[in-house]
Amino acid sequence: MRKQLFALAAAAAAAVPTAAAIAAAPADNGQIAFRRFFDAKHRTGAIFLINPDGSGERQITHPPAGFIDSQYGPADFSADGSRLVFTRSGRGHDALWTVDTATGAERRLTPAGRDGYDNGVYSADGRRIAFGHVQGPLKHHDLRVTLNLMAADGTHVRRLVDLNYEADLGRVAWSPDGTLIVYVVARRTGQALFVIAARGGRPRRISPWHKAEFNTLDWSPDGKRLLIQLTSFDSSFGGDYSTIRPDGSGRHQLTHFGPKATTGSARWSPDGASIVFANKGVGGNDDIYTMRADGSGITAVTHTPSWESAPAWGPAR
Amino acid sequence: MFKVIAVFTATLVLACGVAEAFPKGKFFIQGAQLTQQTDGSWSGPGTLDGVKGKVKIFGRIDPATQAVEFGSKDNRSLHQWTWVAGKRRVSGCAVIQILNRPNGVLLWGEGGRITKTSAKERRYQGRNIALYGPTKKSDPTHAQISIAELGHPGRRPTKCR
Repeated sequence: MRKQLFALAAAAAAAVPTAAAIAAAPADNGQIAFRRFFDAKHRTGAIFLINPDGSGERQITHPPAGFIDSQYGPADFSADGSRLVFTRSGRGHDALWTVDTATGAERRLTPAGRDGYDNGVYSADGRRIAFGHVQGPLKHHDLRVTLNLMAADGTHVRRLVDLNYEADLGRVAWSPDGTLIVYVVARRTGQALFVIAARGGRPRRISPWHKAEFNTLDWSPDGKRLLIQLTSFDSSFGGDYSTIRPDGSGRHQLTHFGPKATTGSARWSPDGASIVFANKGVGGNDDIYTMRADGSGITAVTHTPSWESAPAWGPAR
Repeated sequence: MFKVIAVFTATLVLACGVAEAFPKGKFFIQGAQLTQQTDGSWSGPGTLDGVKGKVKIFGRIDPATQAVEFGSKDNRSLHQWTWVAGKRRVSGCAVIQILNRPNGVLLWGEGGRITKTSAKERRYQGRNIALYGPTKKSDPTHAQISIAELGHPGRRPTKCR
């Protein structure tokens, strides 16, 4: 009996690692990637890079006609900042691509066809990518969504979570030490956060079911907090930013923009001291901003009439 | 067993870095750019076998108000559709349900079959199809709709006339 209790305690400890255990050495801050829509209907757009002070802007992806990059969420930097993984959407199909941030060389990671691939995020060491795979089209409710891992070059694909025709997958984030993955599950009852070990195992729900969408999900570089943003189901933007502990407790609201804000998804800076996000800017269209990790010191990064959102903050190179 | 085969196949395709081509001879209109019309129907350019034509889906469809959550059996409706390029024509029907997906996506789905064709498209007559593609919540009058022969085992064809 004592042995069983010990085993249970050990398993519980393994399932809920301390923040110190999952921290990784924070990196210095580098450039910010964001997506700019080129038209008012948001049917064309590409990824740009910019320095946090607003200088040095350049377009880094060049989607062909009829395609759009990073349409539904932010791209993600590899550990050394040399690559971005992003979703390219077009002709009713989503695929994961990478781009070399120095040369702009693009490469498709996932196959063409009718299946969809999205929510690609690098592990902290840059060796693996977690991503969502949607097998469809849906018919008789059999849209099949899975959370998967692959090597950064697109090989060695491994299914981690099969939502088994019963649920959908939203944002995904790695713990800074690469041992855990937090992800959003969407069901008829709402959305909730789950955590699973990257090596596999049983997922654990860490948040209540919300009648709202987790539009932001990111793990702080020190491993102590998750950055979240709950957006109304009726909209594709809006909602204030909060942080919670990795076990789902201790929710702390960072911003108070209110219900009319057009806030978009947000990310931590590599040093964990700041957050990059999107909110209303020139002409009512979103621009990119940064703020300190406590929600203070909001500073504009972009200032254009175009709609800019879906930012991610890369490490210094 | 199917699960194992599907995973193996997907892994193999990814590992080889080979693009999954749509099987030759299968009906496939990829990503037709449809716009909602004033009467609620949808139409726009779509290409079949390299021939540019126009796709129309008849009857009112409002993704923003019709979308359901994952697992819901509500709001499924039957619609007629056509692809027309000069004298070439394919008509069919489809049951459509729109799913509220994360990240602001309204995903059209379900399927039907091809009911009428012109002579050059006769080979497609009677085939089962799926009709699917996204509309963005922020752009609810636009959709990228594909109409394709079913490729996933285990699907049941939708019966419609």
